[in-house]
Amino acid sequence: MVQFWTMFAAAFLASAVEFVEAFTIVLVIGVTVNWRSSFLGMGAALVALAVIVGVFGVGLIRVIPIEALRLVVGVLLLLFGLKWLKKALLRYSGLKAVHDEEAIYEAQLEELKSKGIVGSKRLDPFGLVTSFKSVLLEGLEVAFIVLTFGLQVNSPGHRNGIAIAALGAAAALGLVVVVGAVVRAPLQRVPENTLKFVVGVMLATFGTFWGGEGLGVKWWGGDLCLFPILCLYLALSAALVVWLKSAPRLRENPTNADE
Amino acid sequence: MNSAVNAFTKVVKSIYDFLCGDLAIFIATLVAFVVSGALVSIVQAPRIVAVIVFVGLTVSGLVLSLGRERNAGRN
Repeated sequence: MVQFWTMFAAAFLASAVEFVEAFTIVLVIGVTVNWRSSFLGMGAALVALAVIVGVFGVGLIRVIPIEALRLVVGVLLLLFGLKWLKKALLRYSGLKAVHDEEAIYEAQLEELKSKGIVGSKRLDPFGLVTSFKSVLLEGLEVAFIVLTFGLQVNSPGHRNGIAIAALGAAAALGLVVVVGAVVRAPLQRVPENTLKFVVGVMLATFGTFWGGEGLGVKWWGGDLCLFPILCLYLALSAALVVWLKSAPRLRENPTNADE
Repeated sequence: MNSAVNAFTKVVKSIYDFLCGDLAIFIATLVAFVVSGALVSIVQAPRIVAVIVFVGLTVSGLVLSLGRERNAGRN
């Protein structure tokens, strides 16, 4: 049960970050070009995603041995997690600018206006392709999260890991769409850095745990060892933020962390 | 020939950026897995040693990378 909720929460949070990014683009295209192009691009991307996951996802489960997969997934999750954690810690410490969805929205709006794109109902290739590639990219990341998280829970007696992770991702999608529809703005109210920090810590925790298992390490207490690892990363993060904040600053304008 | 090499380089760079995009974290994580794997499989070191080396090396990549940013902010 513990593993169900940790898996659900991890997939939910990780997917929510990706959905927020994709939704921002879909919203910009919908408002500035037209909703038809935006939704068509999004729909095409979702169909492409379904095909990709259907073909490669199932093959991945059947072909690759779980221990080897845990090792590979552990490496990937650690890399992803540490990357996200680093960005979040730099933002908390003030060394990088906080990711501002509203600023991105405004910048994209200006860019589209400068290209002379006005709101019409005609199918617009630029809008369609922009929406398509954004949703496809972020969707692939969600698919990766769902498959990798889900595969870790799968065992001979318990094979619904992907369903749990998919449930978490679906809940995140539902929440992002509902929130987006209510506020009708690029989700600037979502505390993105906090979300990215939590996801970074969780990915690093799961990456360490599964990577260790893939190497042949038998963790003390099995899955319960996830909590001490989580606490280790939280304590380390707190110490690192204090350390980063103690640095004397000469940099006037913090750079954007996505640069 | 050059365009093929350039395209290959671009693909490798894109994969690297997608996976991590940070050399210190990337190398430290890979070294952590290789060294810990050797400790577990070849040397058959005690579990606690393998875990400390694994987590220590992994975390060192993050610390090293952040240290670089800290120094860049100071200089």
